[in-house]
Amino acid sequence: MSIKSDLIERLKDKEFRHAYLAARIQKDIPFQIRALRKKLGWSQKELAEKAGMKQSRISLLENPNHEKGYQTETLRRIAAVFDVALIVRLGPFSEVVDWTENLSPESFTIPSFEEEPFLATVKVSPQSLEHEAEFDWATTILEAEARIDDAPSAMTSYPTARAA
Amino acid sequence: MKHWKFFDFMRNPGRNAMEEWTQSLPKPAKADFEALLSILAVTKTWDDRDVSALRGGVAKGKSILEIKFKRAGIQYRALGFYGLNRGEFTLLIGCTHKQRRYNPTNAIETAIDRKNKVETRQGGICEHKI
Repeated sequence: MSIKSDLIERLKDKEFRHAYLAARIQKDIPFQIRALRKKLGWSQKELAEKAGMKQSRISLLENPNHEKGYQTETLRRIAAVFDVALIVRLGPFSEVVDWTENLSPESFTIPSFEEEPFLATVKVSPQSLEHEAEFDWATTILEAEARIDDAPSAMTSYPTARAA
Repeated sequence: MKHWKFFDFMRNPGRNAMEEWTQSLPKPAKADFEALLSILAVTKTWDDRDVSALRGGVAKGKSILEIKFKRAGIQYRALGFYGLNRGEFTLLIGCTHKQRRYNPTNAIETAIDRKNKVETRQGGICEHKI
């Protein structure tokens, strides 16, 4: 069986699937924060200063065994420091399966807004903003996608970033 | 891209020691272990906070490492070693850890024994399902 079908089989147990969801949140967030901080070469103290928090709080946020959960506002502040999105919403378990299946090193070193080739190449003129209802977003997006055809594969790892 | 592939020690053909251990865990702990392994699989260099080498006592010089996680106040450990091949990690035994003591108490000795068996091809392994 593939990784995906193995996981789906185990998720058929309701108690396990909700435990797995909790575990994913508890583990993924600390590893993302660690990876982003290291990517920028910051110490925990530096991140704490930028986020207006204590270093001890960053240490807890980076601890995958910290069992008290996360406040959305705390994560939003961390996301703002890294200039990445925070996506909090209810969703289907199939997204959890896809996330697990497609985990890669890039799942943790998320690009900031400025680093996203897709967003960086979309050009919006002032005139188009005045007539937003008439603006042909579909064509603009297709043109932008065409421009980044040869760009690094980073975008393919972040399907949620496009929706955010 | 996965950097690591995990393998489980097989007691006998058809008896996966790690699977038996994970099946015995409370479901939240089992879920934690699986989620952690899925992340470690794509993490090139592991952090000491998650995986560390056992350096003292009977483990000294034996190249045994422990993967660490905690759920509901219980510290869990999965002991293993790098290998058999590059980019592989073999899981040998699961246990709990409290105040410097492992449960089962002979977990480290068992890990060393199983590592020897795997390295001398007297013990079998199979790929761990993440």
